[in-house]
Amino acid sequence: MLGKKAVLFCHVTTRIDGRPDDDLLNQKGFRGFPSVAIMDAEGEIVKKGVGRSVAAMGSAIDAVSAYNAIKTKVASGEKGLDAKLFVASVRLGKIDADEAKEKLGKYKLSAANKKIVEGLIFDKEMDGWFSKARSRGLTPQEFFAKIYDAYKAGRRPSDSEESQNTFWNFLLQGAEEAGDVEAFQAAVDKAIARTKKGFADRLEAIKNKAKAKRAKK
Amino acid sequence: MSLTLKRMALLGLPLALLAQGVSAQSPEQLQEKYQKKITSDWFVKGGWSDDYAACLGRAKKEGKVILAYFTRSYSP
Repeated sequence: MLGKKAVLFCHVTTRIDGRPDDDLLNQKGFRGFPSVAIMDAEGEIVKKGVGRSVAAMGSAIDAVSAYNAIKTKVASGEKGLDAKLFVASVRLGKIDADEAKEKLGKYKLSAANKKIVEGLIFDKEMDGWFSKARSRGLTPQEFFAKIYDAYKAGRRPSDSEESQNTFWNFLLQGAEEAGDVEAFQAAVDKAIARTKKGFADRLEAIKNKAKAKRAKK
Repeated sequence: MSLTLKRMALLGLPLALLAQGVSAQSPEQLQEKYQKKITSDWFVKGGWSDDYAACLGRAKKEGKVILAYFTRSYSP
C-alpha cells in the first residue's frame, strides 16, 4: 500500500567501514533509531517525526503529496487555493500552533477542514504540554488537568493515532482525578475500542499469513 | 565517591560494555548482520530498498516522495 504512494527507502546504519552513506542518519539530522521521515526527490527532508505505524506513515505521505499538489497549482497560477494551502501547511507542520490559531479566522474553511485544523492545533499544544511535563515544567497532575480541561472545553485531537492515544490515555487520569464519571467513561470506551481494533488487526494479520501459507503448499 | 560520581559510574559501565560490544564485532559479523536485515521478510516483501541513489532516481522518475525509514543492523 505504501509503495504505491511513495518510494520506500530503508537506510541501514551498518558501521561497516567504507560503506557509502552509512552516516546518512546523522547527515539528515536524526539521532535515534528508528527515525521515519518523508524526503523529496532531491533528498531534502520535508517532514520529520513521522509515526511508525503504517497508518501514520500513510497519513504523512498523503499530507506531503497534498501540499505539493497545491503548491504546484499555485505556482502554475491557479487562484483561490489559499485556504487549501493553509490546511495542507498545518497538516505538514509548516505552520506552528500559534500562527495557525492566528490565521484560522482569516480563511473561510468548510466545517470539516476547520475541524481538521483545530485538531492539528490542539495536537501541537498537547505536544507542548507533554514536553513540559517530561522536562518537569508541569507536574503530571497539571498535565492531566490540562487534558481534562481541554476535553471539557470540547477540544479534540486530530485523527493521528499518536495524538488520539495521548489524549484519551491521559484523559483517564485527568477524569479520575476530577472525579468525572462521564469523562472517565468516554476515555474507557475509547480505550476498549482501540484495544478491540488492535486485536482485530492482529487476528486479520494472522489469518492472512495462514492463508498465504496454505496457498504456498 | 560522591553520589553523582557513583551514578556516572553506574551509567558509564553499561555504555562502555555496549560500545565494546559494537566495536568488538568483526567486519564479517557486521556484514552478516546487515545481510540478515536486508533479507528479512518485512524488508523484501514490503518492497523496501536501501540504495539511496536509486531511490532518489525513482522518486524523480515516478514523481513520488520518499518514505525514509532509518534503522541499524550493528546492534550486538
